Amino acid sequence: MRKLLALGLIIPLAACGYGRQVQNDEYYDDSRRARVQGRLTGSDGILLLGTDRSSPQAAQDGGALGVNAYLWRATLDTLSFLPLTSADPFGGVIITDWYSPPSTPGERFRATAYILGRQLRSDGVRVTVFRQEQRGGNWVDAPVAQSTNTDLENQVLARARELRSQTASR
Amino acid sequence: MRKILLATTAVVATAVLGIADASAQQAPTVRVGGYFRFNYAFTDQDQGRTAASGQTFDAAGRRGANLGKSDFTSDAEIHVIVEGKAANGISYGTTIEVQVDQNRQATAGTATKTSMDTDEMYVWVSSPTAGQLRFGDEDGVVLGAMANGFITNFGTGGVDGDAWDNVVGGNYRPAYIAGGYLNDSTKVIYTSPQFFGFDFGASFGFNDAEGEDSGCETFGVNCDRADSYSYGVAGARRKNEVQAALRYRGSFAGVGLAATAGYIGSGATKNTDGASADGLAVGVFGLQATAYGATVGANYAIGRSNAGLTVLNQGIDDRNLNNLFVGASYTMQALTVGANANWQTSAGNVNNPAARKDQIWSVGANYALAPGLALVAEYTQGTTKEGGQDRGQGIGNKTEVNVFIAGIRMAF
Repeated sequence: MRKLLALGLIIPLAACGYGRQVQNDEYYDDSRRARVQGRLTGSDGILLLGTDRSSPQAAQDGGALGVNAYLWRATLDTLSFLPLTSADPFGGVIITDWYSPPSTPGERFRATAYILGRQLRSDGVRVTVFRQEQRGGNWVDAPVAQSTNTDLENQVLARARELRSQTASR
Repeated sequence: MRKILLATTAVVATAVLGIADASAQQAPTVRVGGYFRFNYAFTDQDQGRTAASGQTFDAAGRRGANLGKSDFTSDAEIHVIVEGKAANGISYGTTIEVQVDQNRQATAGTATKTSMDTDEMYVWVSSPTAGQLRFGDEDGVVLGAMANGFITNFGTGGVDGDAWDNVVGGNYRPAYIAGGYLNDSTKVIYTSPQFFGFDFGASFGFNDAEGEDSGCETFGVNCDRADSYSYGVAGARRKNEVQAALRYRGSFAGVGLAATAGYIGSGATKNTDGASADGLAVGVFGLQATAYGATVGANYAIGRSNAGLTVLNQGIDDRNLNNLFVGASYTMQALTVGANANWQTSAGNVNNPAARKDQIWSVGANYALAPGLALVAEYTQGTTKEGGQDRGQGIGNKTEVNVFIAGIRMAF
């Protein structure tokens, strides 16, 4: 019964997300290989298949951020004309504040961007633009052409490709 | 606002579910890692009657064999490591370790001293919120995943280092307890996420056998599922091994602390020709602290067991095992120096009233020439004493071994 009670306490803790995932390198390893400090190859073993995510280069691909670093940087660059409200590099969410272009003070825009993963993919970013118009002293919602969102996403992807190529050429 | 709420919800969901990535899927990676070491070893060990130093003939009048002291030795491991992450945040992987391990006696007709065999091999599945499950050949949680207090990061490991690979004869190798000391019997392991510095785990294996499948073709002692057979003062095996451990890790004023409390329990195979052995019931407690390049630690084990965590046959009494491992190391840039020692008392021969006492101490150093490439030097001394018990072919009730090692090792 005590075991059940203990389990009953632990499961809600886990379910509520209080726990931190323990990584494999936090467990004791009794192999002789584990006793040697560092690796001749720089990373843990020779990569035969897949993408290296343990090197500094891999970190640029998203290892340190939680989402793809090129998409993240490119999105910030692309939306830099808008004032930033919040940016979560781990969740991959960027939210801007309202902004009125000086040329059209009667309308304002804001945008949210979601970066959807660690990989640099064409469907890895989603941008949504909101628009309001001033009517009778009040701001009211106004439609935005779907192409606006797509154009901004394309702009982000182009910038990401540019950043990626700059890094590769170093 | 709706979008903001949506975004907020996404962030909260990310935090609550513990999935750091908005879309965490990672294609599997396959890596090959390796280890090789070359040692010069000077081994000065007591030798029994048939191999006593300076003795020409054994008790039967045959010419004895004497051992020299110097040798070059080599060892290698190859690890295949597969890791990946599914879109739902579940991580998974498998590790297969192959090693050169027939270091003492090849099995005639099946293996040679240069044969390779499997060491640990397991598959694992890990959830950010529910913990990790491992299935396969591996140490349990107490002397494996959550082991603590065993300071072995200098030389070749000191008490738990390469010294014993050079010592001939089981009676001449003192017993001790360190991480990985129990064999990698096939088992299931659970380890939890970390809560407020604590994580816990448990493991279970039906028997003490490792490797592929049943282990035998005819019914006998060597079968993995051996349940009852005739044995004397030795020969019993663990059954239904259970391990449980609770670990804490934290930092106080720049000092990293780690502590583990664990329990190893098991049954034993039944004796069809006399009293059966008792299973293990051992508590294990480890503590270590790290600061400013120095690490100190200790591990204490006490409970129902014979020397070196072997099951205790019923004899004249039920003497428990006591084992204390202590160690310290200090790292200055590329150089690490350290020392460790182990004291163990146990029943030894259960029909002998005198206790068995094993003692080992070691000092050593390693110097990193490059990441993954190091020079090592180490001196280890071990003794075993048991009053009234011949430790080996007329050697008397005490054996002593001294091993000096200088070598180079690398890992990739």
